[in-house]
Amino acid sequence: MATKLDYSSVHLAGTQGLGAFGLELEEDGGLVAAARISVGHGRRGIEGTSIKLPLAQALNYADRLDFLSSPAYNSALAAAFENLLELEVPDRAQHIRLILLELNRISSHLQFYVNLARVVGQNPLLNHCLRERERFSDILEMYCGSRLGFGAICLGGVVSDATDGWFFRIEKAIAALRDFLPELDQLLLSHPFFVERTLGLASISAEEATRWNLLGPSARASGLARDERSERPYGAYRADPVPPLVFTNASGDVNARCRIRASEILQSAKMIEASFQKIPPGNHRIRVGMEVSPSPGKAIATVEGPRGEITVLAEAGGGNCPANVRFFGPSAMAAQLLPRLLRGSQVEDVFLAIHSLDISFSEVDK
Amino acid sequence: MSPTRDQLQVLLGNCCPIPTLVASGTQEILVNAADFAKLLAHWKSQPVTIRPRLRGLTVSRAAGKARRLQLILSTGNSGVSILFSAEFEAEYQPLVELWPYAAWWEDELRSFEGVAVPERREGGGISWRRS
Repeated sequence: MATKLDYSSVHLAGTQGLGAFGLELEEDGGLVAAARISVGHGRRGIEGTSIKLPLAQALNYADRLDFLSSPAYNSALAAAFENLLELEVPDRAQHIRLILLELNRISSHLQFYVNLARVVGQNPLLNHCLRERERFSDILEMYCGSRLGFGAICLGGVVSDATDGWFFRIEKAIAALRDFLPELDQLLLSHPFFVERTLGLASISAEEATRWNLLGPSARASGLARDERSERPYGAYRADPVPPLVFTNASGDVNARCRIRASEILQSAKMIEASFQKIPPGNHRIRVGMEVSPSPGKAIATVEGPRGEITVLAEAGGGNCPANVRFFGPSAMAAQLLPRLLRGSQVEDVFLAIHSLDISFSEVDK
Repeated sequence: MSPTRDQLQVLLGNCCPIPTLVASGTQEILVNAADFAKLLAHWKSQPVTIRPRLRGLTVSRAAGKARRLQLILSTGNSGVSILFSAEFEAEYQPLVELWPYAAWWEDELRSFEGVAVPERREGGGISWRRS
């Protein structure tokens, strides 16, 4: 006989670290017979509020959309607004944006491993992942005064110039991270218990990933070559091509989705180091007034965030506030796959499968 | 990056005239309801590999004007983004047959924009919280 398991959004928000969402499972003989997800528990109406704010303020507000990828949302909306304003962002600012985006990717992926270690009960590793992530939060704080990267990117560039001291701290953090990744591999990713549990679990084929528009690392773990940075390079990614991702086992299961992020951390570290060599001298921003008004028009911008591509549609109506702002993020696409994915899996594997997709419900709710 | 004339020809078929290309910025294509229906049929007849990818779906909010459906599409391998503005007020045609994942955005249109998107029979197992 089927039993209903109802997880409240308050409970899940407090225990899972993914934001607030509701989960209802029908369990039969230890297997999930049906799964229902409810979203919208933390809806803030960010798109609606953005159209009541001047461009610079709307830009700052956008990075609250997903606290784990604020520079990515910032950068996407800034690119759309700059397109409307026909602003040419200085090369130095573009390179600093690239460094911020890649630092954010590393930080977000480390948070993924924090959550993963918690789900599989590897508490010592959880603390080690947090220690590594703290180094990158310190670096962001050193740059913009905020540990989550709020307001690091502004219209016409970035809030402050990068210094040699900052680069030195980044190099040290990357060196420490390179020492840590084998430990992560040994204690978790290659651990026989973890491998046995995750191989073949909640598998998503390349066809399914295409059909359901899976994006980012989760799509790449299913063998789809989807990466905005190399498909349609923007900003400094035109000058600094993305190095190839060293990842061979794109089987689309939980194991592949958990492993690919470690490879992406190394890829991001390489990109940051390459950017240090190429960063040109010059201005880090063009000053734009608070009351700037673009001429009526529409602009689309896409950025590869830590969870996948983020597309922004911005519309100017002639005033100093945008007439329309819309965000299309990767978490929503992964969330709508969940009910299908969970069906048939064991109840104890449900949260492992959910975590492997690295969904941010804050981004889903908007 | 702006689309080329060839890319637009593949995207639009013979369903509506090819618009003037913009040198930079966002290429927007405006179509009326009849042409939009023809375009949907054209895309449906194409193999999935050629079919444009839907990156976003919403409605315009321009004050004092009729609401238009806005589709952000990317074409072919180059992935050039095009903004598609289509009339839809008469009757909303669901896009899930073309792009199953559009169901998410259609739910958003139903829940937050008041668009008369037909309810899905299956529901998909995911719902917006109703207060």
